[in-house]
Amino acid sequence: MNHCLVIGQHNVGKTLLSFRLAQLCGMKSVFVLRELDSDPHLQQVIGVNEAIHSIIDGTNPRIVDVQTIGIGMSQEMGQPAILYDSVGLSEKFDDGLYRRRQMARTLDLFVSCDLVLHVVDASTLVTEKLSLIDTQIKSFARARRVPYVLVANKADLLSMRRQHRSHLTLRQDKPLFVSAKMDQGLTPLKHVLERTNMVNYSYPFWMRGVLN
Amino acid sequence: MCAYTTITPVKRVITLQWRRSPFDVTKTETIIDGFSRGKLSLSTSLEQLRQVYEGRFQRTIQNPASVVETLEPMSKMNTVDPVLTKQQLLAPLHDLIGLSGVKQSIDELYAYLAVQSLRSQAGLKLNKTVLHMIFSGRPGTGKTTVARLLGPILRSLGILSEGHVIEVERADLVGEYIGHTAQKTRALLERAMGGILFVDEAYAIARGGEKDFGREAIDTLVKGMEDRNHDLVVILAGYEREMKYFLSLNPGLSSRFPLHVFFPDYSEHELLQIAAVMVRERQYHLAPDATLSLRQQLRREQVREDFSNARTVRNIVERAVRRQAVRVMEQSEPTRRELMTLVAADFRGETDHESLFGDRSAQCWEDFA
Repeated sequence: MNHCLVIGQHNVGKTLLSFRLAQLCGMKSVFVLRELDSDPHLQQVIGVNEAIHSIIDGTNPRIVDVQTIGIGMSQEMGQPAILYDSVGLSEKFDDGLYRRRQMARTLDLFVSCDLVLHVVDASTLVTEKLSLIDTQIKSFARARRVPYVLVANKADLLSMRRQHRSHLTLRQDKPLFVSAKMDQGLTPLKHVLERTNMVNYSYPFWMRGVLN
Repeated sequence: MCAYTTITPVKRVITLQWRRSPFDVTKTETIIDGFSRGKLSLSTSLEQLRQVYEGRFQRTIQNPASVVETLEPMSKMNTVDPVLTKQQLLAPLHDLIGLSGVKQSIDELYAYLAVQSLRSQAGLKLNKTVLHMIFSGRPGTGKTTVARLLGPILRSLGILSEGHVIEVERADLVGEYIGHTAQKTRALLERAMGGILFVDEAYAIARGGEKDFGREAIDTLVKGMEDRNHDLVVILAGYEREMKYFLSLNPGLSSRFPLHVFFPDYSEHELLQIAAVMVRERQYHLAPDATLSLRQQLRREQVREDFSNARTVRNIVERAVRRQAVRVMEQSEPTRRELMTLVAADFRGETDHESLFGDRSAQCWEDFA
């Protein structure tokens, strides 16, 4: 059972990406658990296709909670995976304390998860560098030595030329250019998910903690 | 993680799984908690988290050798002749004038620690030592000076890893709002790790009464001392009477500070010696009549309530230096000798605290009338 966290700044397309990933893994509908402050948590089963359509059409209100998406992987994997779609991290706190607590929850997951999918907006990579928050997320994941994938979302907004250039500038981080909206280039992510689920090599065996 | 429990079917699959790091859980939780309360910005919290984890990996690499490491400084010291190193180590302390009781207790401490290291070499059991101290004494008796000297001494004895001294007072420990105090105190304790935390005027922490945050500071301090009783020495310093009251406030406090060092007042002879050293340091020298005048003034000062021993001497000397400057300026061509000499006239008159003395003399006159 792997815990995968989709993390990134707000409005980079984390939710859509995670739904797409669920779709790619063959889920028709996903069990979504919104972790609100109130108890019990809001649990619902959402059809993946409807969710994706509503997000692309813009009918869905912005999601500000951490939502857990359970993905059952194929049978030979033996283990299901859990995908956490997190709140966008940002320095501004217009939404007050509630938002902040949600972000703290994201950090909490970030400390304990097994795979980090770090989503950045490819169309804002004009300065040819990651922003401060993104750099820090990257360095923290490196410090934790957790499997880490840098996903440059919204690649459909880039021309091939610019995509190539930003690929070169970010080649240290081996970015994966995807477009969640157009459903392009997500297959490697699925493989990463499967791979890390099969072999949890984020830590050597003696450091992996309690057997569960 | 209740999400996890609700979704998965209950079955025990043995997998090597990383849920949460067994170490540093409290550290990361503190950081995330601080973030959620709005104390830390996002970037600082991420940065601190990163530091925690980097530290962790470094530590885990060192982990197997850590047992050997802690014993190393002691065994190192034993290769050298202890008596020789003792002379070198305690030389700055023994250079201080007076304070024979303090020197004696530090000597005892030294002997104890040296014997401990000998015992460890002989394969005997080590006693766990707590070296938190209380320095009490009247103002100006050298509490701060001794604390500063103690840092390097304890480091070379292998008790502290860094040997730095962090001097704090009430304002550094006590915060402005609820929860601030604990945070501040904890940060200071972190900074003092490997060294000495010297709390000057410690009684002032508890001065505010029941609702004051000072209580919180004391509690946090005690808790922090318990948590990290190795590699940290906390010294509380203060005036004797106030310190007694302070210790009576928190019953656990005095038992946690096993070493109580009392700094007695200097005798007149010692004060004169101190003055001589101070004058020599400033490259002046005393004319014979100046010594007499200084002694007179010290006697007059000594009976006063607000007499602060070496500090008063320093004030007297500095004042004399200033007066000498005025006197020399009036001369046309001062020689080198004149530039260096302090005469009796420089020492006459009142010392620094003129306003206090003015009140008192006025009162004297009233009494007289």
